[in-house]
Amino acid sequence: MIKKHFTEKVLANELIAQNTYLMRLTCTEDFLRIYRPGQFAHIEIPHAKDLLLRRPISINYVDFEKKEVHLAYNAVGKGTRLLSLVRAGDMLDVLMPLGNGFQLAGDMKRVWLVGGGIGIAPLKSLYCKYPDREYTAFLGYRSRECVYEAHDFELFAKTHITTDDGSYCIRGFCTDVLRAELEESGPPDVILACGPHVFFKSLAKVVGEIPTFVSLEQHMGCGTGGCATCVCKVGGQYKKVCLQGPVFNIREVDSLYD
Amino acid sequence: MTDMRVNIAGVELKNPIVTASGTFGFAEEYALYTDLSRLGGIALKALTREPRLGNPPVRIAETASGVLNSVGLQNPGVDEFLRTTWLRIKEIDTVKIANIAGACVEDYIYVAERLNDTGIDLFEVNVSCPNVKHGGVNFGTDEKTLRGVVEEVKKVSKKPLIVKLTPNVTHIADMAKAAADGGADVLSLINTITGMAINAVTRKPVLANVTGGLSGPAVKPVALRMVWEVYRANLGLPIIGMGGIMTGEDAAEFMIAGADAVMVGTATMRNPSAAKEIGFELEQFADKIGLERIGDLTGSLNIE
Repeated sequence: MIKKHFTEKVLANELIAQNTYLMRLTCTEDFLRIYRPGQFAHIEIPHAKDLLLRRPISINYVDFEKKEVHLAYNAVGKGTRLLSLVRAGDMLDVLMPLGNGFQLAGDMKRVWLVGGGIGIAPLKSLYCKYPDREYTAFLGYRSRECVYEAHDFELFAKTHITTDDGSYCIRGFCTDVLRAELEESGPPDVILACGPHVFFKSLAKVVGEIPTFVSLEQHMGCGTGGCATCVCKVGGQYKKVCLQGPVFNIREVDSLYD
Repeated sequence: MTDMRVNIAGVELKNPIVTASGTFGFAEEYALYTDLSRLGGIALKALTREPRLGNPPVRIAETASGVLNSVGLQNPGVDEFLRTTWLRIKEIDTVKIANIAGACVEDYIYVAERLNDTGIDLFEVNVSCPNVKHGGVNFGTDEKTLRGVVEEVKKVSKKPLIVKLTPNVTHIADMAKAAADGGADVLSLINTITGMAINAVTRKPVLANVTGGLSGPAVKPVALRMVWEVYRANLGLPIIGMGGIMTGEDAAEFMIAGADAVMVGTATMRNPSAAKEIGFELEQFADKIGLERIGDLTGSLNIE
């Protein structure tokens, strides 16, 4: 039986942009064997028994040689703020890897990664599992202070960066740049995206027939499929984001087309 | 070594720890995380006559030492359950409890009859879901209606009936008596307490359904008091207590208040193997105080 419940050691937990932290954790061989890009970790907030729920954090990168998992998250609420105080050497109770993740068929060579805000984090993980693809990245940040890991993407992808206020690179939304790129260089084999709901809505309008998969967010309980709280309506049914997602075909996500 | 077995209406549980309905799916989700055979029992997610879509999200909110949920009894319906999920879980080596919900008496009867000839050990009649209009809570807040629905389900049921009581009433012992008069074999309590959470910035409720059911340590004192009140009513029925049990000692407190067994719910959301671990802790606690049988705790509240 594959194990998914671990106590792992924190190797680092550092501020990398405004309110954005990068945490590095140890991981097991079991984890490395089953991990897929786009999966997430469900973390118990240490020393906070009054915060009953774990926090789902997307896996940003996996270093298979060093046996490390990288998680990027925004410290925005009580739980993630406490998480940001965790130090190297601390131990964390983690369920991982959870969710279905992104899957790339062998013939999907030209891959476009489209991320908004903290939704950019899981897209970097594609490269550690599928290094042999031709990547283009469209990364949207709020402002200069919020930019993180943009240079990492530049190492493996042709990267377009936008900020809402124009304080860094192109002013505007990354979906606008994507539309222009579509006209200029034609459709890719697949689009993989993660970001807020409004971002998916504008993406849904431009992708046309291109196979497009989105990683959804939802308020989550157990993370293991038991409580049925983290649902999104997909194909007329409420599907569990933790177990049947978080990655869904964009055309099946009802709320993007109503 | 304390004898951890308890008997609930003729059904022997290996230990008094049962997973609470709605917090443990249909158990198979947890095979990866815990040894299901170490549990005293498993109460499956509520089943209804027809498939139910459930409530729109957001369905969950964290509150101070508590969790609010509003799932709305999402389930595939009893027939689909029997065709698929049941075949995969029926061999699990522990007591299996089917939680039955409905919008009318006929719905309860239909679900009970479909499950009558399966290896399900006990039925838990859900007359207390706060998140569905006519989803049960109406049956659970009026004595006459409660007694009526229990009577009708009891007539057709081939399994012992647990009646799950709602705390959203003024006098829980009166409701317990109504269930007993209707023919309940066991009482379980408490279901969640109706509550709500508000985002002050947006002025919107956190839950799409506006209200939801509160669970977790926040409700434990209320739950303990209610178990004690029902125990004190001397109805002669076993009690399954629940409400914010996170540790073995919490479980012991419920038994001391009058419970014969306990259910663990919200703790599973934090730790998928919580029920098993709470069972170990209860056993350690019992060994330490030199109990012969775990059942000796039941109703042992010391009031001078």
